[in-house]
Amino acid sequence: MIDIKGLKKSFGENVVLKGVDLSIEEREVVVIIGPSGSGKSTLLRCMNYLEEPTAGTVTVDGILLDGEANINKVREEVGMVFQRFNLFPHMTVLQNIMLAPQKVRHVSRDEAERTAKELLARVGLADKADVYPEQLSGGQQQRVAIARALAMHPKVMLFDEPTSALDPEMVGEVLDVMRSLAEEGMTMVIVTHEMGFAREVGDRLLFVDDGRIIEEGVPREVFEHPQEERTRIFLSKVL
Amino acid sequence: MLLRFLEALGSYVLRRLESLGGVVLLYASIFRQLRGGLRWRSIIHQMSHLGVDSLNIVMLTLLFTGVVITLQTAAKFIEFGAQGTIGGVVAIAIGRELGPVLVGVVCAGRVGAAITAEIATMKVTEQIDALRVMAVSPESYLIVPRMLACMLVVPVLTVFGDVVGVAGGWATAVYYSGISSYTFMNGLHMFTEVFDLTGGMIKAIFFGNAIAVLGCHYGLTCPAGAEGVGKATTKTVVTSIIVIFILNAVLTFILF
Repeated sequence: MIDIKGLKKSFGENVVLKGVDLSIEEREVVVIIGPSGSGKSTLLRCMNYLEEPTAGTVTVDGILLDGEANINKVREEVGMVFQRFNLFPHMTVLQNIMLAPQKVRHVSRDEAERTAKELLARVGLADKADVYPEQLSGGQQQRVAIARALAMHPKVMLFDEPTSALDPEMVGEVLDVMRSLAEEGMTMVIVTHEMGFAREVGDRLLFVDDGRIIEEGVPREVFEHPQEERTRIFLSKVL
Repeated sequence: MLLRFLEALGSYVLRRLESLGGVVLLYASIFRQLRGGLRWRSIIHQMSHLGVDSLNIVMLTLLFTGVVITLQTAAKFIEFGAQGTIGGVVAIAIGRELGPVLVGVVCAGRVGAAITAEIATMKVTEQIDALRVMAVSPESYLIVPRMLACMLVVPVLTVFGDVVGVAGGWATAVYYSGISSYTFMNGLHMFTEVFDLTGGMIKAIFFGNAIAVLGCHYGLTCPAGAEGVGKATTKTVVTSIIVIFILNAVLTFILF
């Protein structure tokens, strides 16, 4: 589904990704962990060309991302959820979810509204359709952001630390929605610091540090028997 | 010393060229989006939002400009027995130059700053990224409606400002300088042509375009943080005003 070869990314003098090779299969849930500034989010943002790679290639669903011409085609199939939700504050919850299907897929207003209401029910917010984002808690906003991403019926979902900006008591409700998506067979790439969730839901775990994938494997094995010293040190601090 | 000066100069020129390149690329992107059709509801919303809110400040600016031109010129014209030309002079000055330029400057401060602040805030709160990941083009969704709204609303504001400015001149001529209303209006009829008004409107279309595109450009390239939004807004206002004056000189050569 996603194939990355020799991916490098620099911001000026700062080299963030130093050559990443990664292949993600359909229906696979890949969890990326690592210290702050290790390049996890940049790797994720390169997967839908929010960051243009300095070198290397990214292929999504057989389409090579190499310029404006095909980026939007890929983005229609790749949903993304951000750390800070990034909902449009001047739109109601329903309007936030209806925007992309109407503008991009040219779905009729009635159909977009019906789909949006179904998605809101799915994330447990059926009664919040007409409120504005600022009237919702962080957890509720993040669930709306997930519903908004799902409205385009993506083949892949990217999550960039979706629970990092939430109060601890609201983390669970977002993870429940993500867990149900994983159970339904959605291909997911998740950057997270929720180690319990990574162990439970992930099919594969990547430990990223200093712009490289240091170690990867089945989450339980990586957590219990890390092969690399750097991974051991990191896990000893966060577990 | 000289080397350091040349380095600083080179760096400055490169930054300016980079910014110019960014504007050219933005125009290319806008023209690509224009082929995909127009969203009139959004354009009308922007016209209402950006235009109607500027009416008061345009009215005040041009009203007092008309008053001052008449005050400055009327006494001398009367001294030389040329009071019959005052209406024409005021109308030509406002219609060709002061109307479009002052409305442009007012809109650079009022509209350009508003556009930049809005888009820069969307940029720093990652709403622009949110649009991009949903395959919604920010150029199509945000910039094209604002650009077309400005290109339509600035000429309308200019005509409104022209009328208010000439009315201010007429009131000053009649009630302060003692010129009859007939003399003022007769001068206006004799010396002005329709192109004095439409030429100013053509200038205003270009000014509106520049204000909106520069506002969007600085919004989209805004550095992170609240400070970045402030700096981007200031850059928009300053650059727009400079561009308006340059465009005004070029268009005056071409049009009149």
